[in-house]
Amino acid sequence: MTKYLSLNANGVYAFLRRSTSNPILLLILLCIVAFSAFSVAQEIPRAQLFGGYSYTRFDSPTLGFANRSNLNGFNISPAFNLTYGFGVKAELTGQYGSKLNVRDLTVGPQFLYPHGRTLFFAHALFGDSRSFVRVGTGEGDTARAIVLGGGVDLGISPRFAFRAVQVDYVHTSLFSTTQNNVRISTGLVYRWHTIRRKGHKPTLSSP
Amino acid sequence: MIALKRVALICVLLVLAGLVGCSSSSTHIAYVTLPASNSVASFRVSNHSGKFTSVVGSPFAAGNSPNSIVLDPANKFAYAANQTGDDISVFKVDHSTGELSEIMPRTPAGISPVALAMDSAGTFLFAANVSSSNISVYSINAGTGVLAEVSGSPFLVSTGANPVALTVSPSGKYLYVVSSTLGLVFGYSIGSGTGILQQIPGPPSTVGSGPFSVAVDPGEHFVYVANSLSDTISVLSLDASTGTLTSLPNSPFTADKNPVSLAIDSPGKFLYVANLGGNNVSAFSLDSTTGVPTELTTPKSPFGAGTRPVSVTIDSTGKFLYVANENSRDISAFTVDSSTGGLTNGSIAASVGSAPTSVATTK
Repeated sequence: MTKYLSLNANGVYAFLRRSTSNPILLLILLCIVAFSAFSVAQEIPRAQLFGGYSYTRFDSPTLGFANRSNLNGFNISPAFNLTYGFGVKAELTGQYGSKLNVRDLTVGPQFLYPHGRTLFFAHALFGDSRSFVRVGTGEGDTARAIVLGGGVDLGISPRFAFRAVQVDYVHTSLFSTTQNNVRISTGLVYRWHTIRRKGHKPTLSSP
Repeated sequence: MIALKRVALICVLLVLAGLVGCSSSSTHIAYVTLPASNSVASFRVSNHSGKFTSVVGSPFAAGNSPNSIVLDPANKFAYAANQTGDDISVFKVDHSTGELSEIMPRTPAGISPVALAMDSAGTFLFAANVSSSNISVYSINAGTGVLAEVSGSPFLVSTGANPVALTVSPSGKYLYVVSSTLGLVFGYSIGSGTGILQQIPGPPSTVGSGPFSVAVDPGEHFVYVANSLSDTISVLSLDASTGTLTSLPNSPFTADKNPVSLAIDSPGKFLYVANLGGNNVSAFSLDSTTGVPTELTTPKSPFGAGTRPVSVTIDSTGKFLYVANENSRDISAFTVDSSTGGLTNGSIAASVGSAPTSVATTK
């Protein structure tokens, strides 16, 4: 099982390509991840700031490219959790390749499920995507973006966590066509304060 | 619980894999000349469905009034004849994006180059200069794509010939040039290694009125000419040893209204003709022995296209046929039935914004 959790982008994509599934299951599974074991949940951070690397497999054949494009870039994402297991999140990403780049700014709800030092999360984010394609004299476009995904944070100290993986399906409608993209992110999360579930002592210190 | 986490994560990955799907990148590129906008449009075309996807960044700037476009056999370079620029544009082809990048400077041609032809080896490029009534011949640098005019070029066809179309025989030994004003086909032998043209002994071949397109069958046995004003197809037998043309006894054969462009499928079984006045494409089966074209009755030819079709092209897979429609400013795409020669699923594959004049496809 461990080999499937490699953060190597090519390896993950190769694994993805070998697999098929029903897309409707995505939200169901993410909700299961977020809510399935509340009975053992403990506490979550009040606020989070994630920053890290992200890789996107971009659906560039819709732009006339021969193949999908491998884009590399950043993901910055602040989140504020309103209640135990629920919060709001914003996400700014920039993905860059030799012939095109894509930047997304999205906001939306996130759902969290802590288990020990591990925090599972899922989110549904909505916003805009801006792309510039360096073909010919170059052409840019801005369009709606929908991000559905989730991931796993591993606590490494009271204030820091390592986002082992965040996987997102990113739907965009750039250049009058629709793109179905996959984005994988990893990096560090800085955390402030905690929200405890009733009956549990806090374990994260407040800065 | 660690196992549970891993299972959950892998489930998410599986779902996302379903969303992405397994992509097939089997495509080719179609380039369309747009003289009115001094550009060349680019489309990614599925080898499976024939679906056109406009390349973002297209159309790409070309010279003045690009009228005809051809690709080298390796599909590394594209060449466009700029009719009012009196020159040839050379483009580098980017297969990954469909982009055309022009290599400057442009190569001078004669006056009003309107048609291009290349030998199958990609050694020489030939341009028909309609106003100066001559043929420019260039050797092609396979590495850079750059053109160099061969010794003696341009070669005069005949005063007042106004050549509008030309084609190279599959062996690369002969060049045939159509004079629309004189109603003649001029034959030339192509100097091996030099590209120098020598007119084939004997008078040029007489065809119908207003010949506008010429094609040689893959077996190099027959030459077909579309006579746009007499609504006929002339067929000439080709002597492969000398290049001499002789009209078939029953030639010309009846066609639809204003045939202006010809394409023969790679096995040489079927001939397709774009009829400018008929707004359609005629399909003929070809007798491999006699060369006689017989219009298809099942399915019934002709097949409807857009308004004023001016150019017909079969893609490299042989599965699709594209028609450039001048007045409707679009490209019609058909699926070719390789056994019957029939055209099906005719539809407008792409709108191009201004009048298209020719289509070339990569492999």
